[in-house]
Amino acid sequence: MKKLLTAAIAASLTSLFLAGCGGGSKTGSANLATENDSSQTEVAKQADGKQDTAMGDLVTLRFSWWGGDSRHKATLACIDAYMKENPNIKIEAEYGGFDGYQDKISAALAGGTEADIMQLDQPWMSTFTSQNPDFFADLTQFGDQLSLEGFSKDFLNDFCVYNGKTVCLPTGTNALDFLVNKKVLEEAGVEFGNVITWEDLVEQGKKVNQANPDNYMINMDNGITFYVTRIYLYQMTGKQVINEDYTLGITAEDLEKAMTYTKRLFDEKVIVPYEESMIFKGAPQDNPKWNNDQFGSWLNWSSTADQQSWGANAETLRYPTLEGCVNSGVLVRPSQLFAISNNSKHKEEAAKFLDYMLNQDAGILTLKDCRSIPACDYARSLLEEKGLIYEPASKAIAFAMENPGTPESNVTNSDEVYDALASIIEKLVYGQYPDAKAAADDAYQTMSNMLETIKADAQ
Amino acid sequence: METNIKRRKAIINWINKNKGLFFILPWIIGVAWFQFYPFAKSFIYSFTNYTLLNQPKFVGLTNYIRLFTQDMEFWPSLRVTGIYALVVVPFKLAFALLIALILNMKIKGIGLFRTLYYLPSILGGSVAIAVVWKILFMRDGAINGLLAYVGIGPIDWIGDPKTALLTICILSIWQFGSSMVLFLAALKQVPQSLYEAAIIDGAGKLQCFFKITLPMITSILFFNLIMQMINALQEFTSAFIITGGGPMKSTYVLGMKLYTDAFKYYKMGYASALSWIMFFIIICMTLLVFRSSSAWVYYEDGGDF
Repeated sequence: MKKLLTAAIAASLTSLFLAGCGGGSKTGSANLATENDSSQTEVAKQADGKQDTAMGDLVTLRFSWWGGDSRHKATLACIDAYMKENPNIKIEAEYGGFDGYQDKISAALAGGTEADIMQLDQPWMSTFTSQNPDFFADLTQFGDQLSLEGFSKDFLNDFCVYNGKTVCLPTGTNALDFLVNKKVLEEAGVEFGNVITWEDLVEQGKKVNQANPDNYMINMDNGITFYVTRIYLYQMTGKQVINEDYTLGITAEDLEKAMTYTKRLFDEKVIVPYEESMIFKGAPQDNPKWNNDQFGSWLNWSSTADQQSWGANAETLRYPTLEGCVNSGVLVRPSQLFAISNNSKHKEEAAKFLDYMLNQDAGILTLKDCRSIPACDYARSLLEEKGLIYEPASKAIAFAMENPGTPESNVTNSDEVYDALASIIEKLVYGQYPDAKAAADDAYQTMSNMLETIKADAQ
Repeated sequence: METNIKRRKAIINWINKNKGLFFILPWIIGVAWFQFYPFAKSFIYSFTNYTLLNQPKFVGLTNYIRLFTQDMEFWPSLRVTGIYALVVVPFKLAFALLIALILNMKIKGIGLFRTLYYLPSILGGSVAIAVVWKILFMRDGAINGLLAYVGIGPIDWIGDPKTALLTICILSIWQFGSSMVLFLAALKQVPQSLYEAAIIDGAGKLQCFFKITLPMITSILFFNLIMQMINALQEFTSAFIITGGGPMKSTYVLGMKLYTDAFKYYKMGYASALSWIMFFIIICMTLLVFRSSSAWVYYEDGGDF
């Protein structure tokens, strides 16, 4: 026991001194990275460098992605199948969870050590490509080896073309999704077929809480609430919140209307209160009530549509709209992107593997919908034919595609400005402003100031 | 020829005199590379607009000026960090000392208890603990279940901006193990003869504690105070994994802001400036405590090294 105690003291002293030496800079981030590395990331090294040169034509590719277990399994199976078909190719898999993945990719790009093939997220692309237009290879140069035929031209132009180059391809399509639990709604007497406008959502939605004070129509955390405000704004004005020239496309009055509506959803107990949902921030499906049939619906990304156990009770509805609006404002975007590094020594081989995953039957059928519903038409119809797609998710995308909102461009996607708006909405819902007008004025002022700073920095 | 020999002798002499340096060379290289280099680099970056992917451009004091005058998050964040440190440090030390006193008693199986009480510090800020904490403090969680017996609640510990910071503080106070182990070692160093003499003179338990125990362990108390204060001002993990800085930024400590600026908004230069301000605050606080120490810290050897 004495030994144990000594060991404990030694350990505590070491950790204390290490902590002390940190000296205030870069707190915690290093900790976090190692945690991620040890718990989630496994680097499967299957190739031997020496063999490479000896055999001459043995090509090693590195492929990095993030995801959950099912995606890892499907992707590894796809890699194995490809390597069996092409014995001269070795693919090293580098995979882990989403947490910390962006940091890792940014650091790798900055140091020139990125993988040959990378899975990327659409919101990062504007930053990456504006910092250096040559990080990623132009994918049109590979001709037949990587066919872009199956992808919608508009979709590629909106999300994959930067500085005139097609630098990435969408793995799947993601759309905002209004998923309802029919059982809960029917029991509460909600006529969910009649929820067409935002007004209907309030009128019908409050019935769920009236039927049982523990239950709510919408399960949603503060990260998603912001999208309700944004879509409402978009339907009302038909304009982007932030313009390309770093000005606001909306007025303080517009903001006030949208924020008043958002606040009403909470006041009428349509959305579960923040006090309860905050603890499940980022993962509202972790709330036990979600699978317990105590929530009527959620507004979320379609790639998360299968995160419930409602069975046949799950149904996708059209997103609520404002009367007379031209544009649904519903965001449609790639779920993830694949890109090839410009530093890669084997770009052609990398392109061939991308083609295998995105365009060829064997690859498509192994990967299935592990990266959401494929964006490539051929892949989507093949999977639909075989019944390999989760139906509520594909329905959400079909609805969104009927009348999609205008995609956001580089400037309009500023994390910093939107975070500021989101935190003001959060304060409003918590009752920190006398009324929505005060919040809207504050938001307008704050966002304008921020955009001015960003604009000054960009020049 | 002669000068050559002389020079060689001088070199050998120098090496002989400074042999020690070679033994600690691995440490010197490690500290230089992993501590001083990043340290200096972040200072340089704090005067640039570095974004991790661009060529840093010198912008003078812009980052610092923006932090103090334009940034709407900086002062609230500093306030949250201050409150956090003011709550955590005293309570953690008091709790650690209390448990150390209990574990200093001679009872059977005390070794096992010591190990058990140290466990929370090892588990520390892991993601698994964050999940446990969420489950404990959620609306239908164990804490509210217990409080219901006394007729309190239910309280939304993490969802309510008034209690979220407190919940994070409790997690930190719960990790009192490392301070406790040091206190325990200090308690064992207090000579028994002092207690015996005091008891013969008719001193009670409480008097013994305040007149003998506490003064005798002030050096360790001082050490613990400094270390815990530095740790508290650098707090990041628990806020990041349990509340993400929310609700309403009520747990948005400086460490969290630093991380967000650096790795979410890619404002590396700006985050470097923030980290230097944090460093400056920590240094000032530490020096203050050091200055006060001559008044209340007792060293058996008179404080000489």
